[in-house]
Amino acid sequence: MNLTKLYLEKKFEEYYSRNDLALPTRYKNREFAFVPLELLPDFVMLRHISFKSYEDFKTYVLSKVPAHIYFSSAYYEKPDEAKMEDKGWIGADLIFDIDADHLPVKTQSLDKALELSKREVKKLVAVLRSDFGIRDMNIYFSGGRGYHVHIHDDEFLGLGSGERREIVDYLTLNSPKIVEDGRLLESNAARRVVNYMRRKLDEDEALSRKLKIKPKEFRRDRLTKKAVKAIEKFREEAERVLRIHIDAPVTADVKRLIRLPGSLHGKTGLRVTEVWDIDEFNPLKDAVAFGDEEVVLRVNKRINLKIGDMNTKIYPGRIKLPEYAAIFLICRGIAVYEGMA
Amino acid sequence: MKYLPLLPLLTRYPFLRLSSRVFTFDVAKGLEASPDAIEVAKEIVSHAIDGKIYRDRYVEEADFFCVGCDGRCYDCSEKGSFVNCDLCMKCFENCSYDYPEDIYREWYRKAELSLLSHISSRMIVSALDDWVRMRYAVNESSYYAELMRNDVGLKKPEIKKQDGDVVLRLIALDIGVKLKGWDVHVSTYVKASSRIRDERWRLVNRKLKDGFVETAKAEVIRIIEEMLRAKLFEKVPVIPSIQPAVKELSRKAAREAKRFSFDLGEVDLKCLPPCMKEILSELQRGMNVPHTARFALTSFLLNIGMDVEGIITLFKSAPDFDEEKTRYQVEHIAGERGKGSEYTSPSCDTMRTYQNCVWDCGVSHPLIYYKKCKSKRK
Repeated sequence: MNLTKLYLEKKFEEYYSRNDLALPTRYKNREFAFVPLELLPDFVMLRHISFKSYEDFKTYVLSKVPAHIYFSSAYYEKPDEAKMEDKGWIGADLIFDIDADHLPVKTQSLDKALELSKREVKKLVAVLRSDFGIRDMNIYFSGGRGYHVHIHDDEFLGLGSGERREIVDYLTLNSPKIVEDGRLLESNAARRVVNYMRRKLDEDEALSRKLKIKPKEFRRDRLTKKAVKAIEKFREEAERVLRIHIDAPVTADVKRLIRLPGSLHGKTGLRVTEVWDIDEFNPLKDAVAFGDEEVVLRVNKRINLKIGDMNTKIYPGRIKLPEYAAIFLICRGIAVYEGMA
Repeated sequence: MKYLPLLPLLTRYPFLRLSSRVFTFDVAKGLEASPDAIEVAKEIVSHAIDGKIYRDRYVEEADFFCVGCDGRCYDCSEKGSFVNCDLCMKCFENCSYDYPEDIYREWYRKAELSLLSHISSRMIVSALDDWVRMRYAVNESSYYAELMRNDVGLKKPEIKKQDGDVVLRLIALDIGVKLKGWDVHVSTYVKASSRIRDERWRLVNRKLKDGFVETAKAEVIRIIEEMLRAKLFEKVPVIPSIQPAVKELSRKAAREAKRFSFDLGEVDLKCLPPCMKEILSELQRGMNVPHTARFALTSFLLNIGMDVEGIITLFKSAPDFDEEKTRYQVEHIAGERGKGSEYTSPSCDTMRTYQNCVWDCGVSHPLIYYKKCKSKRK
């Protein structure tokens, strides 16, 4: 095994021996899955594993240090059965995944990507609270390029895939009806689209000219033909802005594997971290799991390194960096380990 | 008198879970003692096979006594409204209403018979083919929905029952529809709406606040109907004493099945629905097609009878074609590798959710579009 991998394995093992993870509720009924660090770069997933106690879990993790740990959103009678149909599905948490890779604006910068993801999380949480009346939810930074929202509410546990897709369509504003028989539909979606349009018309005279309608002429209670035309022209843009960009298959899948809170993301070395205050949360600081002892690396690419307290340009060659930054670069495949400083 | 107000109700709506709290009996012995019950059950199923509803069953029109009764049978927060009610049954057990003994007995007996025929009809369809159980579930739930609409006066306002609304709330509670006023909790709502093919029912076209979807009374009944349909489609354990009925009806079902069987015939790519055409053309142009779209097309082509080799040949023209990878994926969906499970291609709703729908064809499933086109071209 090469030195870099040995170093990483040692560090991950240290992390898991020093930190006690809080296993999810009803963990005995859940399936766990691991990608062993040892076999990287091959991504081998060991699945259908279940645990009777926290000690069993910890022993397992320390014996096969994993690069990634997942657990099932679903509860099963027999989570360790190898065939999905033999597991005996009981129910599943409602899960939302917001990942920068699924946002319309693409960016290379992790920092920027996380900022965009955060905006979507705030939109999501607001709608889940006001429209769905959900108070009890947990938000996690995924350790990668996004966030997960877990809902354990019993009301939603038993929903099947088609039923969850109704929720997805609602959140992603998937082809809503806005106008019917010349009247505004009585729906949250229609109201949101029209309110947004109204606001934009007030702010932006050019838009008003383009849509050929003055803000004054645009009344929700009495839609004129002119207004209907303007809505048809503008709705696509409004829907794009108002849509919440969740990754649809994740929510619709009732047997999804998701990253375990508290575990490390093998492609960044960051911790899957619970977010208490989304405004205050800084993923690239708050999810750092390692210390600042200095390490020597060989970097193979020029990048802007922004993590922890560092915000600097890094160039190819030998460099001394604090452990947390070193692990971040190694995990991302940008550097190899050369030794202790 | 114990359970008195429930008896007429259970005669009309024997599917209520409440009935198992009032009656405990051995179904086999019950049927032996009342052969009439199985005859009614047979009629119900026989009609369902023909796509009809059998109406000549046990009914009792008497009112739900609790409405208008002053008795304080149990300490409930709001009597008769079933707000915060957990169906503990205490009030019904302590019912102090007095009624002639012989009528009470007759009602008890009727409710029992109604329940017996309901249970045995479910057993019979559980022993028959899936499509019979499906027709049964559709017909039975629509029969009960009609009763409910009558009760609350939606059909003819002049025959609205005074107790209609209360009875409807009790049924909703029993079947698991969470209500606030007549608004339905979103978790219940989506269970029904995901099965109803109508734009107006999609959650995205609804008013939703604090977890409740704004719904009207008629819609609440529709939701109960959908949930009931799902419930009645579930199989129940079958007992030996209904075997003669099963045998008789399975012959009838076999005759009916012959009438609607059809063959998709030769694969005809000209009949692909617009969504599938779009995905195929994107694949052939080497565009980056999402996994959900690849899955949809592959399972669709398998469903219409194409074999793995045929599909791989079809994908070959793509500039980034990777035979090994493609073969692995196609075979997995076909079920030759994987776990032996073959998939049905996604419905239009699913296609829409994953943004793979490109046209409003007026069908609910891409396969229906294909079938319609094939039969037109014949």
